[in-house]
Amino acid sequence: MLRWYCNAAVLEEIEGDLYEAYLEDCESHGINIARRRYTWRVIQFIKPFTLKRDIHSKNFPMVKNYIIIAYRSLIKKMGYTLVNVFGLSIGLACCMMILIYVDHETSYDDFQSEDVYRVALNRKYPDREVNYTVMPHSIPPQLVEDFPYVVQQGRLVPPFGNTTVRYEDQFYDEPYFAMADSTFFEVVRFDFTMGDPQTALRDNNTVVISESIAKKYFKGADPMGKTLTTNNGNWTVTGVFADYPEKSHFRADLIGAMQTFPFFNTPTWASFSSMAYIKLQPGTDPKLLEAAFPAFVRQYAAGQIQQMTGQTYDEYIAAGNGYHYTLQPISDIHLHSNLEGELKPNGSISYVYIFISIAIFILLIACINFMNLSTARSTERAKEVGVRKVLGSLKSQLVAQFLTESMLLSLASFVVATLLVVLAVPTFAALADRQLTITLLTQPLAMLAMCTLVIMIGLLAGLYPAFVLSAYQPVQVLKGKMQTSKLGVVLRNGLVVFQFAISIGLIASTIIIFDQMNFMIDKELGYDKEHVIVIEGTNNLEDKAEVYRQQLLRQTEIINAGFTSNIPGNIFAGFSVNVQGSTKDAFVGRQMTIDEHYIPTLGIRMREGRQFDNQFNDTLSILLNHTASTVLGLDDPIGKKITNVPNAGGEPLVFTIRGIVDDFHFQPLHREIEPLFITHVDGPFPFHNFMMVKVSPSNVGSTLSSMESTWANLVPNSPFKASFLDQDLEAFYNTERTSGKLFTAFTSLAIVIACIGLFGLAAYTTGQKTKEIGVRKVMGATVPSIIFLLSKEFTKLILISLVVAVPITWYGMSNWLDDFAYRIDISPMTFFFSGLGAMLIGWITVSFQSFKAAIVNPVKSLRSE
Amino acid sequence: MKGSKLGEFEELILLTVGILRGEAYGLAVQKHMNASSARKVNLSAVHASLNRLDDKGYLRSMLGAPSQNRGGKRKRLYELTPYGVKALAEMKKLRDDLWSQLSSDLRNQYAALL
Repeated sequence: MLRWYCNAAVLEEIEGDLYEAYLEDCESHGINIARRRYTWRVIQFIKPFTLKRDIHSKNFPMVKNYIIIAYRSLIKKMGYTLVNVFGLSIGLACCMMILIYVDHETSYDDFQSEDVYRVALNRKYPDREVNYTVMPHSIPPQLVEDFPYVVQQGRLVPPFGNTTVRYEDQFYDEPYFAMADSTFFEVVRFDFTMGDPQTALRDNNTVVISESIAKKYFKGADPMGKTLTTNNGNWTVTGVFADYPEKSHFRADLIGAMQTFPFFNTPTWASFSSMAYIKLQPGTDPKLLEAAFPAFVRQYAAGQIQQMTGQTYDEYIAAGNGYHYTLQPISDIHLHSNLEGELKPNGSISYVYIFISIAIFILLIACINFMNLSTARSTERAKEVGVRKVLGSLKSQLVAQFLTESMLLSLASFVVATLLVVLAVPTFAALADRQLTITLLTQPLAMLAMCTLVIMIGLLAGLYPAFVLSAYQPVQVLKGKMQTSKLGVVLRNGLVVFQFAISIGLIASTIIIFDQMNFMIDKELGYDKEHVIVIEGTNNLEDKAEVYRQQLLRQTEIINAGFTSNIPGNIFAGFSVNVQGSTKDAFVGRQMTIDEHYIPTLGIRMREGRQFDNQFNDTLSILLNHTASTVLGLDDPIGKKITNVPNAGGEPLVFTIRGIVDDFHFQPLHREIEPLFITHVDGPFPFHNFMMVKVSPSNVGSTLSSMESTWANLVPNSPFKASFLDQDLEAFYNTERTSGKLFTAFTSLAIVIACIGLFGLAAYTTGQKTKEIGVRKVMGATVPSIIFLLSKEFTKLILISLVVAVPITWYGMSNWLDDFAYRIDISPMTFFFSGLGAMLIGWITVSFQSFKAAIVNPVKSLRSE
Repeated sequence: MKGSKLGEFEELILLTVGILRGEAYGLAVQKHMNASSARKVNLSAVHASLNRLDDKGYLRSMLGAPSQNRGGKRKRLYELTPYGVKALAEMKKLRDDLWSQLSSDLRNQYAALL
């Protein structure tokens, strides 16, 4: 490498010095570091004084001449140049933006210390499995105790709905109020601006808050030692941390001391209550701990499982249950984890891959344009080459000439692309719903990469014309024999097919994504989501809950209202049951609490039996969804008794089954419907955090405001928070929607670029056929027949691309759809329409050119000789 | 030859070459500079500078004997030319002059800083 570029005069001494330094490094730092340093030094030696003099001194005037000639020929064919620069710069700009996006996505949590993991739980049930972020809270501290390489642990109780916080007489609704261990900040990185992270959460009823919360509550006053009040008591502020970075899977605004709640001090080994982050000794293989988990679970959890289910641990596992704990590196969570109860909607590595491939495709399309146009022009330039050769040009000089030209073009496109990116990044950031900035592109490594890319494109695109043209025999060319080169045509057509295959694939994929989106939004959910208002925090009403309901029902616009513990998208608590008098094994499903008005409000259908009714005492009645009753395998479920051991421990509860409801989707459609057990609000799980209000479609706005004022009269101190159920539901599919939008944007750009290329190509082929058209017209051809003639070839190409695109897209998109529990089937119509779309776009592009060519007066085109 | 003014880095190199007396080749100069001053310098930067100073006539150089620990390559040994010595002396004089123009209490203050 050094010898290749280095001037002989200084080569020897530099080589000597490098070798000596290398030997020393080998001794003091080992061979690997020494090698790396050696390479780095060699690169650093690329400086003017070390370069071979003869390269630039002798050739410099020639290079200057290349640039001038290239510039002139580009200016002469302005249209061609513009088409090229436009296409390539859009392609490059797309690439850069995708690069920014990918860099953003992959740099989540890169500020965290190494060897920090989150423990994920894969819970196997006999009939299904669920991946949780939460786990039994007694496990993490025991890990630290039992395994020397677990240095520290920090538990987090994620926020569950909104918490109302009072400071003096102000009330605030906080969606991100979490609870954590006192050791949490030793594991997950926080930057404290006030207070000591080591001790902040050591005492009960302490809380640390983010800077923006401090600003909001205390307006510049010192927050330390102040008291905040929530439903769970008073909290003393013991620390302030800098707002948590956006680029993290983590988000919390207030973090209270979790041991304040006695529940977290009672041993729990089998029910899931908190997230766990652990720090391992530097360099520890996480597999080591993962392998130790099964024995660990058996040692500690067996007793409690037996108590809850009445089965021994071995029986329980043999029945198909299992707790599989794995460690997720904290910086992988954003892209690789999609468990139940994530703190924020995460990104997805497959989208990152998809976007990278789109970037490559777009760049390919743009490069192909470039090559295509150059080869198309090559016939035209053959004469120039001939003359140059006759006058004594060397082949290498001609190659250099053509490469300079394409290099110049790609450089110009790069400049334009950079401008485009600077202009487009804010729009793109809004579209992608991420805080994207162009800072990445100012980093030296990215710059180096971009420069390499530009040079590569220039080389690649210039290569074919450069070598083919420079190989022409001057005599033949000047005689005019090299009108068509067979290879050139095949190559050109192949490239067009490739471009359109990509475009058609992208169009089809976009259609499929949107079909799936619409499918999810329109899918029959088993309940009525239209005109339903969700009021959060109805537990704040306390004993006035029923009063509020009655007052609402007095308004004519309000049709019905019912309370519930969970709304779709919440975590539904696990619920383990035994059927009395049945040999069926213990079994875990989900649980929710409702009142007797919930089912009519949402229009959920009963399958068997009755729903809750205030004429009966329903405290120990239970409803099952259809899935639950099927899984339990009860022939005649009504009146049967089932036993539940509460997660928090305590006496087993015996419920009587009163009814079976039709299945309804209480979770996003990524998941299958799980068995659901529904208990009454007067029963042992008296949670009524939400109220569902069915309103009439007219005057929704005024209904909403009267609901708010009624609320304010009853509980003036707690904020009123309402949303529309259908909008809440659509929010589940934000990730898909965002990707769909981005996909559309890039697809359109890809098609635009492909069309630019086609346009240019059509211009040249029709240009070449000017005479043929002239003759045809003289012989009596009509304008439409000529347009048809010229479009025929492109139509053929597009048809071939369709054939290429269909299987690849079908395969790729089937994989994507497999992520969804409820998915559409790919219909052949999708491909028909995308093919038709591409064809139409192609026709419009080409026919513009052919029309122009066809209406030309034949006298003009034939007179040229 | 571009201007005859010496830069700070070049001055350091010249001084180091003077100090090393006949043992001054690229790597040795770099090591000595890294050891004696707080700044880290690149081997390539040292080479570039030595080369340039040679061109400008501040230094002259000859190739030494090949040795085993250099993979059989010779070193280029540099030494100061009278012109180089003169340039260094001028720099020092210039600085001394400027120092002497500082008022004495300021001088003491700066001296304490150094």
